[in-house]
Amino acid sequence: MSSETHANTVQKVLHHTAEHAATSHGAHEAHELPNWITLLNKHFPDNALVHFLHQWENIVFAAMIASIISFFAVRAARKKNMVPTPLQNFCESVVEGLDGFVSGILGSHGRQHLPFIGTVFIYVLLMNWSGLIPLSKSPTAAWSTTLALALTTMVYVQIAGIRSQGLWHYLKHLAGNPQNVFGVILIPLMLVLNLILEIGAVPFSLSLRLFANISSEDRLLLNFAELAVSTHYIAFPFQLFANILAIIFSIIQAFVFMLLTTVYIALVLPHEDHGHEEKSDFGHAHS
Amino acid sequence: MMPTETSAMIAIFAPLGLAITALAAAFGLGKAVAAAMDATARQPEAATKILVNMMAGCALIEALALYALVFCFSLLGKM
Repeated sequence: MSSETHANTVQKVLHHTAEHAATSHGAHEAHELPNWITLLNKHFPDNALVHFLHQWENIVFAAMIASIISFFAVRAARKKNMVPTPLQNFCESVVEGLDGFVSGILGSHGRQHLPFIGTVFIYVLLMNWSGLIPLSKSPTAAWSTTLALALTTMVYVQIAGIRSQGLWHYLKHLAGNPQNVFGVILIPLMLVLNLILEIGAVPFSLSLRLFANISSEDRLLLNFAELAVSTHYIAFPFQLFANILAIIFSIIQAFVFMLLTTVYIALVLPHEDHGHEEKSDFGHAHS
Repeated sequence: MMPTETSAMIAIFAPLGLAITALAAAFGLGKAVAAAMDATARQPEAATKILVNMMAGCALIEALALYALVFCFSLLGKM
């Protein structure tokens, strides 16, 4: 008897907090577990500071995660010992792994793009994972955060293209590299197509993919948590399974974001000669 | 309460669109995974590389099905 009322009260609190969080800004269903800002908002709804925090919820969490990353990165890179400390060792292995991956696609002079690409990967990964921490939310579960990330990536890709190719070659690349009269005639069409693709389709698809995946993950976590509570915790293993799925798919989505950024950068860089590529294949041993 | 016409049409066609998108994504993913299996069978020592590339391809195909899911949720909110 008491366990039933306990489950009922837990379920009511879960529903009430989630719905209160949703209905406080427009009438749409709750779609993720409550976090500390929504809980504060439920208990102190009239406080100005709490209202401000709740309105800028995504930015608060994103800024927290960015400051955690910055703190650890600065601490790891402060004293560059020859025999590394554990934190420095871990950060070095992460950077080496990312460097190997990026250099594999962009070539050895693509290393100048490694800071941006690596930061995007680590930032997006930690933002995705923070939806799994209790009382915390993934900022990437809102389209605003992912759209900002995708627009930043687009601007970086275009600037990288202009810097490495020069403005004239970059414009020729946008116009479709016309070789003959037929190419010159098609310049308006190619310009329109390329501009729509690079300014519209690329940020849209990047942002929507990440947003849809992570918000679906959060909905899954909420639904499995409600399921576990409403069946008196018999369905708890399903909640564990949902957590494992969320961990794996967060890694995959961050990796795909980084891979697409790298590929877009590789597409705007100048085309290398074929002799350049053969030189790098020469050193591989036959296995 | 009688359902209005728009809500009835949304209730029929939004899940139907999602189901068709999921079906198409399932076909595409089946082809991708089958190709990855064939490549791994040819060269088992490249298994992790093939797996990584397959995951990237699957995420891109999956994204199309997820676009439909997102629009389904927003339509269901309007219903």
